[in-house]
Amino acid sequence: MTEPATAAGSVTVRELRRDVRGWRRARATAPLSQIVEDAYVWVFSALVVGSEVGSVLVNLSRESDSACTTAGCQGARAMLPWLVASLAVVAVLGTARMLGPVFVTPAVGSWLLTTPIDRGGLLRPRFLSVASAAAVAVALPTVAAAALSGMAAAPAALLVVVTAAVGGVAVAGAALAQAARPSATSLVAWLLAGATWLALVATGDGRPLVSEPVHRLDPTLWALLAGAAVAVGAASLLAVRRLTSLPARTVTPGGRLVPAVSGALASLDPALAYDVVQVHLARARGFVRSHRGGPHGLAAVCWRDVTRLRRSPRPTLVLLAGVAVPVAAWRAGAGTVDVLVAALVGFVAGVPLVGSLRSWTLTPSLVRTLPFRTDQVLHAALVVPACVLLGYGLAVIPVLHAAGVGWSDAVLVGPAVGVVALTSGVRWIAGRPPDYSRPLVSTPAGGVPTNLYGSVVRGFDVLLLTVSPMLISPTVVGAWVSILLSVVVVEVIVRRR
Amino acid sequence: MALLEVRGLTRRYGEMTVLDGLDLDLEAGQLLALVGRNGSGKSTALRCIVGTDQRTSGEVTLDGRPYDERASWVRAAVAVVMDDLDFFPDLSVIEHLDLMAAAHGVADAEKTVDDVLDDLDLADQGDQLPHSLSSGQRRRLGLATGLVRPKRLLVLDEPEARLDAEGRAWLVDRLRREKEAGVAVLLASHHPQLVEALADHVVRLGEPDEHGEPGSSAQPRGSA
Repeated sequence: MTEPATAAGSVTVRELRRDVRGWRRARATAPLSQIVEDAYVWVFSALVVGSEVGSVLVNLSRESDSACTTAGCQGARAMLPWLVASLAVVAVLGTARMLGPVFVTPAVGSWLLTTPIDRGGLLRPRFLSVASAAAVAVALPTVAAAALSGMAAAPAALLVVVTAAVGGVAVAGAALAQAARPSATSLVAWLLAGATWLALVATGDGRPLVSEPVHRLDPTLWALLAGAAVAVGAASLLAVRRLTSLPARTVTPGGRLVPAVSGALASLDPALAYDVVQVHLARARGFVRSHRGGPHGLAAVCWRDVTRLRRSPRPTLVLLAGVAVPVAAWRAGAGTVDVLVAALVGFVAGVPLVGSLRSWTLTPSLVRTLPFRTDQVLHAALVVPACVLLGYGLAVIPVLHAAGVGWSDAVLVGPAVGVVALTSGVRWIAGRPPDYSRPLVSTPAGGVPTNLYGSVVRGFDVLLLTVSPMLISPTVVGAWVSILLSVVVVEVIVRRR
Repeated sequence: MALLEVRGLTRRYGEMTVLDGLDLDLEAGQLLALVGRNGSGKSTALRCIVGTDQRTSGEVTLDGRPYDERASWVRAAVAVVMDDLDFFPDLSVIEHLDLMAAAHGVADAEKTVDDVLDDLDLADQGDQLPHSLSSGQRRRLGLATGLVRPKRLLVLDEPEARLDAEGRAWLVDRLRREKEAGVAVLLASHHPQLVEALADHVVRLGEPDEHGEPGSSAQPRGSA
């Protein structure tokens, strides 16, 4: 019987990586010139798109300079980069918690993590990639928000560097908590989200934490930069040292999730990506405390949505907390455009409420198990989300009134905003995905289904359609037209199943 | 009149004929088994009968009325357990079955669900979310959805799959009780003992006819 190879006698990560690189080069199918050409196209495209976006932002910023004259508007504008950066860090923390943040592909999990090679060396490049991606993910929206806020270039650049560093620290912290206390990442994310919400509420209340854009590099910003640099160094060092002891069970689930989500997004089907994430979360959770009892017949379908709300009140709380956004928009002088802002918030925050509709529409076999027609089941699945979104619509009535809609009109415009949000959510979650079995359209990128690109704006299209009457006429008449359009859209979606 | 009547059921995929003029009659309290090798068209036949696959030609009637899987009376009468059943990611095993029983108006829904979970050895998994179950447990959960509800016709596609010997013995006993309660059972199976123990009629699919085309041969059997 042969002796098992000892760790000392096995290959190093560096040797392994060199071998893998050699194998890949041996199978290279594209010449170097083509790779350079592709890289040129990518860089050129990025520069063109980036310069166009930059131009739009600068123009918007100049227009804001002249239009935003009230104290409320200037306060809201000054708070914008801080709020956006904070939300971006919350998003990074949430994503990091879901992915690991350190993760490996299923192949690496099966073939390399089971070998005696140094796990720290194997995971280090992955950790650094994720941390760098997080820094970029936080920096990009902060750049845009800083440009819109009218902040001077030098402090804006410093703020972006600081927030990018905070994004990296967030990932390093999540990596530190990955094995021992992954819930700590969620806790930090929720605390930060709560603080951001309070800052938003203060802005809506006319008491922003920052009352005017930063125009010069003051010592506070330099101190922030120094603190961020120290935090990045310390957190990264600690996280890298901890990589060696990360168990395989904590790094492989994220590796399964990433290609699945990438595949869904590559087909421009965000609802499919949502499904993938939901299944991933359910698999990670594993079990729940079952709620029993409830009514019989079609009401049993509604009752399951009540069960969901009791089990997971987070979507409802997020939706109600979202009222702070139209309040801040009103303070910033949005006027009757606040109707659109309120509907948009209701749509985005309301999507998880119509999650059961996704399962009913995606799995016809599930509907067939019940003694009802498909449209009856789908209507029943809308009852509870409709009630919650109507509650949201009632909550925004005072905001809409403050934004310039008369009381007698606002009492109907508010609920109509809830109906519009529900309709958009239904369209997003139950719309038909790109159909590759239908005739394809020839493009430089190959054959694509006719509804491929449309699926990216799914939900937003219906939002614009149904909210437009209220934007044109924020009155009872406009609200009724919006409600009528929404009912037609929902019925088309539900009855064509 | 038979509860389920299938006449001239044909399914073609392009040039390939999978089913060619299949005729079936199934009465209440009887079990008809579709048997044949892999690819002989058993599952295709079941899908075409219950309307989840497009029939090229042929008619299916339930109780003398055209079988339309979209109609609520068909859904109330027919329980179908095939591989395409998926589940809500956020509802537990118990909540799925409670929903099924309550939606069908089962009087004592919780007791019925508990009994079926015990029978299927899923009681310990009651609070689990379906995506955390093993494939065998998910298969049994699928079976459970067909058992916690009232029905006149039970359609099963290889119900013995992923069941151990004890599970198969339980399945034989359970299907026998369903037959005694007047439920008609249509199943596709690879398991000779299961078919031998329960089938009143056996239809072999995929056996070439006199022209060498795939056909079917029906063999009535004495009641088990």
